[in-house]
Amino acid sequence: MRTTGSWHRHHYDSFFNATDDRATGVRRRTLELSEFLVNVLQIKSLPGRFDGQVGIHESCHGLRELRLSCSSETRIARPDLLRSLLELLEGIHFSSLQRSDECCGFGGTFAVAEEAVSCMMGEDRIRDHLESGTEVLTAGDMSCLMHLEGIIRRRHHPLRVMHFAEIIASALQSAPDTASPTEHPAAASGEAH
Amino acid sequence: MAHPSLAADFVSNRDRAAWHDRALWFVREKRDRQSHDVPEWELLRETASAIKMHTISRLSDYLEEFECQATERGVQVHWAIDADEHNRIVYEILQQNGVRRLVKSKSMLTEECHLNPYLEERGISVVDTDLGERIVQLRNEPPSHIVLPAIHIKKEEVGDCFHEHLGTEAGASDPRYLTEAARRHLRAQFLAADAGITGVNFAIAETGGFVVCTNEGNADLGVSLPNLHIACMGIEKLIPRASDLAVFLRLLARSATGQPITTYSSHFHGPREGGELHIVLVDNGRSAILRSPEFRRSLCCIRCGACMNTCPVYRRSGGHSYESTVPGPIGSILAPMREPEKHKTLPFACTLCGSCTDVCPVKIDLHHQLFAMRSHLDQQSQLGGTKKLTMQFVADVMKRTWLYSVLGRAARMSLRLAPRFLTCNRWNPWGRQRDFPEVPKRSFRQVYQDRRKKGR
Repeated sequence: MRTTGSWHRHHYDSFFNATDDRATGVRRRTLELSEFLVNVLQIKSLPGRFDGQVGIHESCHGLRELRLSCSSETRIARPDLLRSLLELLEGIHFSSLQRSDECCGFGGTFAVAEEAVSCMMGEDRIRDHLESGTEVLTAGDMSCLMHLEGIIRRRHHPLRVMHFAEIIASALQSAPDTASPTEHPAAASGEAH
Repeated sequence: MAHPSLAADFVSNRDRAAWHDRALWFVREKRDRQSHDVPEWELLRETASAIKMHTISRLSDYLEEFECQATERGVQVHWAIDADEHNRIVYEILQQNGVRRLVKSKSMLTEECHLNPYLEERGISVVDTDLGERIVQLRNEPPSHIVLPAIHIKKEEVGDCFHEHLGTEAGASDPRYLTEAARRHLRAQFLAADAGITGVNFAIAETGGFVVCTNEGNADLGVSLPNLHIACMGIEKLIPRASDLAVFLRLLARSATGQPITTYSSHFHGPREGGELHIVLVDNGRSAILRSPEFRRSLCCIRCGACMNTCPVYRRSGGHSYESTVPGPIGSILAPMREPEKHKTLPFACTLCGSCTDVCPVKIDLHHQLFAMRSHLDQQSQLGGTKKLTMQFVADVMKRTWLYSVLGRAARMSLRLAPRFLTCNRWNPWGRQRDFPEVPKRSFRQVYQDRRKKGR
């Protein structure tokens, strides 16, 4: 299970033979966290609440490789996994953005090789969230968040950045008689990726 | 120059870059509204993609069929292996007809072949009649976009340019006034022209005819007044049947500018009475792309420019930062295929966000091709020392779990201990405008292992 495993699922083809059982096995068993929670664990309710306006950043590889929700270009109806999970929490509400799924500008080595464009893209995303009243910025992909948080902290913008697992974890901790009180937030935040 | 530095120049004028971004996003939004109004949009894309893939799989057959049909209609068909031969053929036709003044409607192929300077050196005056193209021609610069050639220029700058070249009032920037001035100026050029050149949007193998799409009607004017019409086309512009046109005409204008259809879709089937019609079929590297299974699909492109309008990098770096006739995502595949050395930074001017792939009306898997192009360039030893070494280092680390965790621990410790000026300075491209993440005391791996030891 990964925070955005699009590389395992979509880019292994160029490195491994299609008949390589070990590679296809890894592929088959690799799930993005929201896929796992919604499709495998079939979570239909979550105890606890999260008070605040959450702005969802649609991470591109989740959106257009794993198809975890519907991209603004195609409008092919698809369930929005991340949002459907967070919607289970009481007290939560969501920002409505000017550009619902524009890239944040991280792009791996792009962030460094094309620093100027990368940071302008990040700032533009952040401004959209600020203007939409986002208090907590969330996403499924740690690298988008690292890039955006880097700019937010440098510029002292009033935005908290949390992976959606952290939002769920903090809601679960606040819940009386939680279903899984032992869940450690660090375990869910997925630092290694 | 490389894309990153040209892009940084463009971004350094932040207001202008933001204005450019908004201008193109406006077109993207128009495209969204138009395409979402068509319930069968995805089916159209599928169909267009299948037709194009089929056509390029039998391209030689369809080209011969087209030549045969066109010739039967009295068209003179010419074949050019590259830009040089294309320019030579066009010049010879013009010479034989004693042409001194030429009007040209928008044709990215002639831009690709640098036809204008070639003809001008030989004493033929060339006037681009598409308004945007005329503006960039007067400013003596290349188009920055294939559909919106002057999208990088503000109306005040158009006013200055027209004041200098067309004698409009100084400081005038009213679009209606400027357009009227351009109309008057261009009318005179149309009337004086000895020949007209057009591009080709779609050539139909079955009929030997072709279609040119414009919004200004300049292609019709340019070829209806003089007796000589030369149409220049890349060999990938073919479609098999006239009935296929319906699919592409519905996709093209919606994707390009968010219009249901272009204002003029002009069909040409043979020369008009007393006139001459020539078609120049140009390869110029297309066969090489056709031979490559990885990049073949890029030949399906119908040059709508939607990938440029949607590309978050293109919108903020401007078309000129690509230094290629076709910029943006599709240009970043086509250009390095032709000249890898010159265009090797283009496939990296991309976050692999995939928006281009989703917006493409013929379903070219643009961002996957851009990714593949990176290793293609590496195989040709085109990547610079730093990039190569960094990639090799990362690969070496990623291959060894122990090294990855040792270095991870070292990085966490040094980021915690390092004074700020060491990480956040102008020599560190990450830290120039961004802070580093706050370092957790323990990694995910450590937390996970502890929990397993505790048997949970």
